[in-house]
Amino acid sequence: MTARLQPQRRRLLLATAATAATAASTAWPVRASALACPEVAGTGAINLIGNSFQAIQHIARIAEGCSRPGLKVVFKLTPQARTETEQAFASAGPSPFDAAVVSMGVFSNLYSRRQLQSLTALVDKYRDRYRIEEKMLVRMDGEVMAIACIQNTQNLVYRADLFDKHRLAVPATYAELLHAAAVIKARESSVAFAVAQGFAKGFDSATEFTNLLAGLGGRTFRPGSALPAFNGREGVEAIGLMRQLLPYMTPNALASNADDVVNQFQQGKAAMGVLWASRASRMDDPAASRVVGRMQFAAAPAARPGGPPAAHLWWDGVVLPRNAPRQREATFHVLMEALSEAAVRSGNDLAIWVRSVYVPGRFGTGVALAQRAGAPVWPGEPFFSLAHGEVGKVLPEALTGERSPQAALDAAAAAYTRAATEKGYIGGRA
Amino acid sequence: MKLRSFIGFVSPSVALMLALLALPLAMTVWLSTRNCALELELVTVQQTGPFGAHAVTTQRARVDAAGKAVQRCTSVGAAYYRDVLGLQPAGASGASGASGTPTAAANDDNEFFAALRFTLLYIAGTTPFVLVGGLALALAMNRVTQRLKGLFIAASLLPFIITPVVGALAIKWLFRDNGLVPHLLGHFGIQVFWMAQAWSAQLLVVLYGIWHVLPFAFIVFYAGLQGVPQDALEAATLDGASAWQKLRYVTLPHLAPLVVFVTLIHLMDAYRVFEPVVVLTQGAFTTSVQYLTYHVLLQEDNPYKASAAAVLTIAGIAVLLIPLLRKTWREQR
Amino acid sequence: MKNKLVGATLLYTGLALWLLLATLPVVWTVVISLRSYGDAFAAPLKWLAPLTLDNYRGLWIEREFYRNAANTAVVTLATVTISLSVGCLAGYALARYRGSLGFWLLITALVFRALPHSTLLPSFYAMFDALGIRNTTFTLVFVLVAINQPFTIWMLRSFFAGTPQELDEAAMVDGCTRLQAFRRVIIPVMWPGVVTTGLFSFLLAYNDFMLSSALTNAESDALLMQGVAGAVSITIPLIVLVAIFQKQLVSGLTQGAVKG
Repeated sequence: MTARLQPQRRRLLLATAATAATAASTAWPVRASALACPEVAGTGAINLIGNSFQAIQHIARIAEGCSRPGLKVVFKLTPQARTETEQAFASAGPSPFDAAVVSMGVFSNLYSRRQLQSLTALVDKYRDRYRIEEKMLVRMDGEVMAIACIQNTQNLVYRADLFDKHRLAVPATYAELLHAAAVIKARESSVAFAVAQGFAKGFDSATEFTNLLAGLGGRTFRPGSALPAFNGREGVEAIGLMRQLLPYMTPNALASNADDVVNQFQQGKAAMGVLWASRASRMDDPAASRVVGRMQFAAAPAARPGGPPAAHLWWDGVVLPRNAPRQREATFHVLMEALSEAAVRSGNDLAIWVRSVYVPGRFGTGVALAQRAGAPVWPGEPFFSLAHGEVGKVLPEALTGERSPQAALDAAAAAYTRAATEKGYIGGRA
Repeated sequence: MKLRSFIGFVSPSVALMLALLALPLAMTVWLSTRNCALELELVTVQQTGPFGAHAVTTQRARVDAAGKAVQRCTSVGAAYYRDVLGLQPAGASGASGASGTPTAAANDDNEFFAALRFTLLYIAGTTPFVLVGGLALALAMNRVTQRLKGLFIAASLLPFIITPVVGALAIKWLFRDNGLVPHLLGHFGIQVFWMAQAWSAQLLVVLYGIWHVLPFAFIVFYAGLQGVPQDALEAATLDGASAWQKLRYVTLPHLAPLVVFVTLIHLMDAYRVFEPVVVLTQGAFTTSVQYLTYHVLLQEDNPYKASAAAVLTIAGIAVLLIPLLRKTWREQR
Repeated sequence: MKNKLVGATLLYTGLALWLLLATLPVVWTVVISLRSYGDAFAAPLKWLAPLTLDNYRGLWIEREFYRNAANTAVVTLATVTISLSVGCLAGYALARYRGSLGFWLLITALVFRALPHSTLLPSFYAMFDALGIRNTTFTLVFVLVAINQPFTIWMLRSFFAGTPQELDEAAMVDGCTRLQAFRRVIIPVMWPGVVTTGLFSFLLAYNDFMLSSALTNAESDALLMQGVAGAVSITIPLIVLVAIFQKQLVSGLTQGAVKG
């Protein structure tokens, strides 16, 4: 055994190393060159944050591609984005994040707390450069406070093949939905549950309730105040509607969130339900879905005949905090690159984009459809999320019958009133 | 060692603990008596966006000359304590009777007592099994052949050293719909949706607790078993004692201080149960005192109410620990 | 003889059952981490399914998990180093000092150990916010060190108490100061104890909720599977750790119990 490697062995070793290196480098993501974000200048770091949706992952990748020697762009993706963003923007010192991608609910909170900076000057300056469209701009009394990039709503999805088979019309009201569900349950054995919907405690069920409440013409708050009104007649009716759906859903419905609902549809276990428009396209994912091509969508059914669809319109967008560290221009450039027409084109199918260059796929016209049908925009009061949270806590008991809907809603209203008073929304000087 | 040397040596550690444990603790107590709220004004704003334009009537913070939101902080005394304990449904900012409070439901779903109740249930549900199981496992491991011992002990320690988040997730994936356990149970005709109802969700959290802590009890007892006085055992054998009698009269008394030790540590740790509640059940049907503080702080975004919950939590552990601590102290002295 | 055979069978069957229960969650997680989403959570359950490394690739390369890993490594290493340095000094002093101040310090530390971490969060947030250092690695490290100090000084104290006093007394007679005696004479003897305490410090820092909570709550199938791969990736170092340092872990746990 000589200490030095024999020539053949050395060559083999080098060849192996070269192959490994090549393989590794091709697997490694190719960074966009610095020329991809020509306007970005500055030093240090730009920190961004957003939720871990696929569309935002896409935005994040492009944003981070603007990194160059001396300037590092870091985009943090986390399901706790809402909490971290609110904490960061509320901080007395400089915010750890230069900008954030937020949902409109979070935007309302931040705006109300005056924690956002106006983007009007930046938008006016660079509007042509990035072809910023007016419908992307979220203006409050004329000032641009956010730039929307993604939209969403809830649509009805249904198994078109089964509906054809049983000659069912697409339900336009919840009464018709229940009728169709009864037919499917009685006559279609291939489907385990007629209806799949997200009734999980907390956000999912509270969103269903909010949709139905609005659809029934109810109000969450008394006009012009933060006092609760969701425990009125319409609120009880909304819970009643949800309870009527339960017998057609999986026994596990009260733990089902949007992921579970998508799963049920994909596995062919459910025939209809109201679901986020952004998630509907997963029905056609051949890797996970057994019902490719067999599902269709329509506007969410109305809660009462002649009423608007029981759904809300949502947008997600970028905001800059008032307590941002310096370099807002560089941050703005990075964001605009990540939200550019090219970015939308390359990530076209990942979300329902606001930009006009978005080409809707089979399920992509869901938002436009809901808007035409008259779905309202998600409420913009900063105290709405408090009410939403309290309702989400009591819904499981109301749905199982452990508590009467009126008692449950009254309890939620009392808890909400306490929380809103603590924050100053009720009883303050407003 | 002289006092001066002693102080010199411990000062870095004490300084750290003072700054980052004692001081925050004092601050938590102070925060629990305060409330800060933004000064709000009712405004109607013209909002335009992707869906068109509409007028929004909302509340917005007043700003000072520099454009920063104005905040008002006041002392509220024990108001948040009453709120957390559900003793009085009053608003903590001292606003007199927010009119129009709807038929106030009784505070039968008070979150703090629910959290305390489940935390105590968790402690009561895990401790006996941890102790008995740990002892049984230690006794069994003592008889395993030397070659296999290392492997068995390492495998047995796995649930204890695994990251709690990962451990809870692993159990969640075993028990979720279509997971391994429901599938196996289905073969016996038992169908349970583990995360969908209170009793199964709570049972799952308790099972996690037993799975996670049993190895700790096992390893402590196992080491203790190595120290059982051999001559006492031999004397007992000579006297004709059975295995059971030897266990009861020689081994167990020797292990008694270790049982106290394990119970004490487990009590402290179980009181802080958090990860399974957050990860396994996302707070549905289960809650805990630490989860409540965390939830109030981050979800309700109320550090003052969270501080009150925190102080009450600490009071709870003090009540639980003081008897045990006094006993240990008397024994030491 | 027959009784012994029956006894042995029962023993090993029982142990096998326990080992199955102990390792099943981890083993099952590894299994599903190597499957695609459709196979991992298929209804009904699939016992056999094609294996794939896609989830790991997605996690480590696309989601750039190596950044998280590097961050965790930095935080953990810094925490362990500082914990041990500060804790050794305190533990040694507590073992050598005879006065009652030492006793009270230990009791106070024990009380602090009982504190639920979230009870400190509200004031941490307020304090660090005012100082402007809230989201820094620096802050996280020192918080972890402080939270772990009570346990660390208890463990180190019991290890130091096991070292003979004659050693450092002899060194001081020879002219060393306390600190010199500590460094030159005691630490070399104490190395195993330090390693063990270091292991536990590592575990406490590594397993911290704030570091690992990123794994929870996926928004899509791909992210969920990457979360599974992440869970396994995080656990592998721990499995290696327990395999290598099993004896030290055992002795460490018992030191605290038997001598503490």
